[in-house]
Amino acid sequence: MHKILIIEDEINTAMPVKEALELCGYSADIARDGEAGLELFREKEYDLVLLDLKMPKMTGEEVLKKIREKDPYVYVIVYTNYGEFTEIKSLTNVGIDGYINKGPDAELQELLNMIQNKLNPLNDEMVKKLIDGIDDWPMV
Amino acid sequence: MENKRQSIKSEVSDQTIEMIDVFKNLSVSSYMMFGEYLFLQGKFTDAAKIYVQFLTQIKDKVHHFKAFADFWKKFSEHADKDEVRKIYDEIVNRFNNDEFSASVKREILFLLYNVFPDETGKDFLIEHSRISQWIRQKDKDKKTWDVYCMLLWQEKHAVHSRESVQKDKYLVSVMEKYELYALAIKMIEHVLRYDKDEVAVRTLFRLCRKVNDYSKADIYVAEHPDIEKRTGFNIQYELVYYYLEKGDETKLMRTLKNIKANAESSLPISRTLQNFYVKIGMIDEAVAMRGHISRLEQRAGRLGADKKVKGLEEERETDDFFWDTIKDMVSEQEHNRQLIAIKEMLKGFSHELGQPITNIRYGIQLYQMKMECGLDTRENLSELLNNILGQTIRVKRLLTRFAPIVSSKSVNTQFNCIEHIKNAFSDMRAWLESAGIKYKVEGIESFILYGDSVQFEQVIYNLISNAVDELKEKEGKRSINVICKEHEGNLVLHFRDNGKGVPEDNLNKIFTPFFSTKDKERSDGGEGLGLYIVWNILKMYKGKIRVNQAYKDGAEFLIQIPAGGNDNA
Repeated sequence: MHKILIIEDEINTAMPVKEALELCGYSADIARDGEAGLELFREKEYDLVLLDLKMPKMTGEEVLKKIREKDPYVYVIVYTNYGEFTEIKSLTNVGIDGYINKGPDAELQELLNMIQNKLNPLNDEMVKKLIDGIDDWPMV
Repeated sequence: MENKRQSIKSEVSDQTIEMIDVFKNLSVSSYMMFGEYLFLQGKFTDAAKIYVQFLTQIKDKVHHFKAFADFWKKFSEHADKDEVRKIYDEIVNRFNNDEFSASVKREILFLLYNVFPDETGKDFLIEHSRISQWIRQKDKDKKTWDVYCMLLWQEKHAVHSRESVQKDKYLVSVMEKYELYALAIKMIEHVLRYDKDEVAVRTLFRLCRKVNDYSKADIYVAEHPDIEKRTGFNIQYELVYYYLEKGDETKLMRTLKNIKANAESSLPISRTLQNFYVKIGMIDEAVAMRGHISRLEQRAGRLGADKKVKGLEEERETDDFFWDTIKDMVSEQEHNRQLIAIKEMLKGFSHELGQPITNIRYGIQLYQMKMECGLDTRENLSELLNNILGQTIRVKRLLTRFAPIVSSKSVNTQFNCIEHIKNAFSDMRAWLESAGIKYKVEGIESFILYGDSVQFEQVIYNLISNAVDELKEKEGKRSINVICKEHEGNLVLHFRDNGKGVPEDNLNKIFTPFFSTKDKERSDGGEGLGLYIVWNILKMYKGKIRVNQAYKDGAEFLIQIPAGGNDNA
């Protein structure tokens, strides 16, 4: 079972995400600020981190740098608001695997799809599609 | 027939129009074309004359000079020696008659300097002491070409030693006068090898500034890192331009500070300093310097009695000019600040509103997912609805926080603001006591302001709640002290808490909207609006607020409000 760490100070954002992830068969932990998040990240092995950029104590960017120091390969998806693309640009240099919008564009399903694509690139649906399509494959 | 004639006519006129257009655009180049045409016909002298005429026309467009240089090369190869001599004399003649621009003269010097080497250096070996006399005489006789050649010869061929320093310095000043900057820079480098006095160093920097290329100055600075410590005003003056060009703000500020410290009693230096401040956009410093200058002028005026009345009138004119400039700058800076504030505000708003919207959307979407999965959701429904209502309350809270600024329901009266400060504290007594905080309001008992007293109390409320949040994390004694004073007709408040103070990094940020170090979801605010609102309300009272960095026992906010009051009232 894949483990996901949600670093997010808004409990009302983090809880639905956690529940939805659990419905999809993942396990998820919530950390309410960067320091707590890093502590959890050092203790346990995670497959993916969902990171909010605006938090008290440590900013998302600082947390991201610390995460990358420990593990350059773990998937990290960041939360952004509108108009923070310059931020995204500088973060891609540190290493992020995707970003997701908050606000009126917030889609739980979109977030789940993104996470699923990272963690199970060959999910059931895609395997089914591939197998169904076998008849269309050109004969070698 | 009629048609045919008409068509010919129109063809001709089209061509003529084209020709006219070509010549209009190529007024300088047409000389070149004509010159080339004559040259190809073998009429070398005529061609050269056209080209000399061309030189008088190009003025500051020195890039055209290359055409002449190319021509001269061809010309001196093909024409016989007498022809070359004739044209050379013609050019020298026009040179002496000042028919070329300074930049063209410079180019001519380097091109034609050595055409007749036997003549050009023949009387240049003069005693050092006689050189200025020689130059003055040549100047008088209108033989500038000789002076130019002499200057170039001196730089190239004369021996530069400790003994020649005085002469070389003099030559640099002549070169600068003739705008031979590149030559002057080379010469001053010779001088600086033996003599690093203030005038020489300053000259190097000034010349670099004039050619807009500080590379030689860079070398000097690299070799003499102690230049910053040289206190002479002349050097400091050039250093200001140097650091300005380099964009080195720290050193620029340090240099300005040095000038100020060393030369504050000098009127001309103070004026220079004031102009620097205006140039850099340091408005407060410029205004302070202006006041200082007028004091100096008064003192000088008293000493010089009624020396010049007319001069005083002129001074007043420049005074108006100064204040107009300052006014423009202030309004521009204010405009920029407002734009930035609005931008920050919108950014903060979109984030603050985005958060509850996200929470509502996620809540609903999760509920839908659960329904689709066939889970029993009846229990979750009331939780979801409560959550949504909670989020709308959050939006409401955000909006009401702005009410003190936006509200138009204000009632303006004259009120004793000290009383209202005390009211604000006693309103919050229970809360303060529960947080274990002791408070004291000391100082004057009365100060009258005009405006909305509720708005004024909001300032105190926000400052108190800001202090309470700060003190909550503190162990041991917790206290808030307000000292009220009157100073030059202003109300001055020292608002102190004994918390951990404002970190230096945050000094510039704490009054901007949505800056917060606190947990956003706590019920007691933390959106980062409290101090922003304080700042805004005080602005309506023409008041100011800042953090006193010198205060070390916690945080101290210094608030100053002029008597009178709210200008919106």
